[in-house]
Amino acid sequence: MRRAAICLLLLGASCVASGKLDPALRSVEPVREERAWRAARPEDLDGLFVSIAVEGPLAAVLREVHYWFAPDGRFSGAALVVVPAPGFQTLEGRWSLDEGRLSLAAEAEPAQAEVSDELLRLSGSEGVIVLQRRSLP
Amino acid sequence: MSKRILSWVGLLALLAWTGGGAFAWWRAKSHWTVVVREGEPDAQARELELALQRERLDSLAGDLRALAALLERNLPLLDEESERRAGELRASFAQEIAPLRARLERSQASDEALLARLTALERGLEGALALGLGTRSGEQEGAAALLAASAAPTEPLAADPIEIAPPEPVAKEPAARASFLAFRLPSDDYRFDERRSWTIVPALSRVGFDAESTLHDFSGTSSQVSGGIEVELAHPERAPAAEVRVSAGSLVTGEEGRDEGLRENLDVEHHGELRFELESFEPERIDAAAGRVDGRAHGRMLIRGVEREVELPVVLRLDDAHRLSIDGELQLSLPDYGVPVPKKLGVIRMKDEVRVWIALRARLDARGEG
Repeated sequence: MRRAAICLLLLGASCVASGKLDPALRSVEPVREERAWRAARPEDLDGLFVSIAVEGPLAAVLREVHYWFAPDGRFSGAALVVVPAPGFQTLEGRWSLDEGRLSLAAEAEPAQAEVSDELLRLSGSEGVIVLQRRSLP
Repeated sequence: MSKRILSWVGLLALLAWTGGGAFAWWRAKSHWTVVVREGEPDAQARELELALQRERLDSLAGDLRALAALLERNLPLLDEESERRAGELRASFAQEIAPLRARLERSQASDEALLARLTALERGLEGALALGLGTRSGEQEGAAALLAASAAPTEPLAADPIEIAPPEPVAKEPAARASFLAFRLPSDDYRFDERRSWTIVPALSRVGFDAESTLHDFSGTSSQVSGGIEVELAHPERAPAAEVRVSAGSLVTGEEGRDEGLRENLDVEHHGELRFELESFEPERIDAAAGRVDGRAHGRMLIRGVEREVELPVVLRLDDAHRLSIDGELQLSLPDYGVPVPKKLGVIRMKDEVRVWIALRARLDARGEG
């Protein structure tokens, strides 16, 4: 009786799939939510935006960014830069948006600006930054 | 009378002698040709001369043959000797040039540091100018840059060469420029041959183990991991420091009952932390261009309060944001750490050996942050 139980148990065990994690899945990849992005329009850039992700070479020097966009074309920003030492940079100026190309400074290349719900994605040659709309405290 | 006769006889005799002589001359002239040349050696002398020259030529030919034979024997020896001398010269040259190259590299690094300070000062000046013009943004930026520039330590040029560093990518100049975000972001001046520190990002890291049993293989994982690493990737053997800590109670296997048993076997109540502490690193392959280092980490593993020496083969990879991924695995015996091996019904038994693995992601710390 006991032998039969053991045999049944082992037979059952052979039918159980392995719960061992595939070595290729050990590393944690950032969750990339599939979103529908569209080119930003001027009315999308109104209010406070705070970065939630920084990707690409930009991430080596930049940790966090805050922007406040006013509907009259003014903006203010603060960036936490860690090179050569951690510190904030602030700036203010005027913004313009032309066919999804956001210009924040005359000497800077325009950023590709896209929105998806409360998120604003800015892309350039140095990387990608995703900001989330926040209400003014 | 007789005198007259004798005179006539004498005259006749003279004429006969003269005629005979003329006839004889005429006869001889038709048979002989006599050519007279001044200074020509005779045939015997010429033959002698030719014989002498032939002998000299034979002697020369013999000498040439002997010389050719000697050259044939000695040329390889000469070749070997030349090769040996060239090798010695090359080694001597390399030895002489190594310190110079090391000094040049140090000098370049120093130049880059100087350039970084100059850039910071330039930013500071811009900020000060902006302050003078009443621009708020320049004020803060300039003040921060001036502070950073004044606080940045001056690194003296090392006079003594150490050794030739492995091939490395060309360092980027840390020049600030307006990015597409409009901020004046400095290029990161991280170099593969500088000692820097990275902090583990728990949200992007995972550690775990793979276990086998007679019934079912399974893995336990946790992302409640912390710690960091400080290393010069070009020379990871130079006093590296690293520590990885894991909350023992956070390990999950996907089955609540088994997790409870795991926590019990690890005695998390009394030994809440699993830890690996690096003591030395043995590099096996360093690829500066690819930002990759393969090697063996030697250190101490702490499980259930028991600490043991382990060797962990790892791969370090640097991405374009200078984030470091650290992947490795090793086999451990649970009884070595006093961990009871689960067993049920006498037949379902877990193997003593488990594979412990790490898949960590660490963010480069700002200078002086780590």
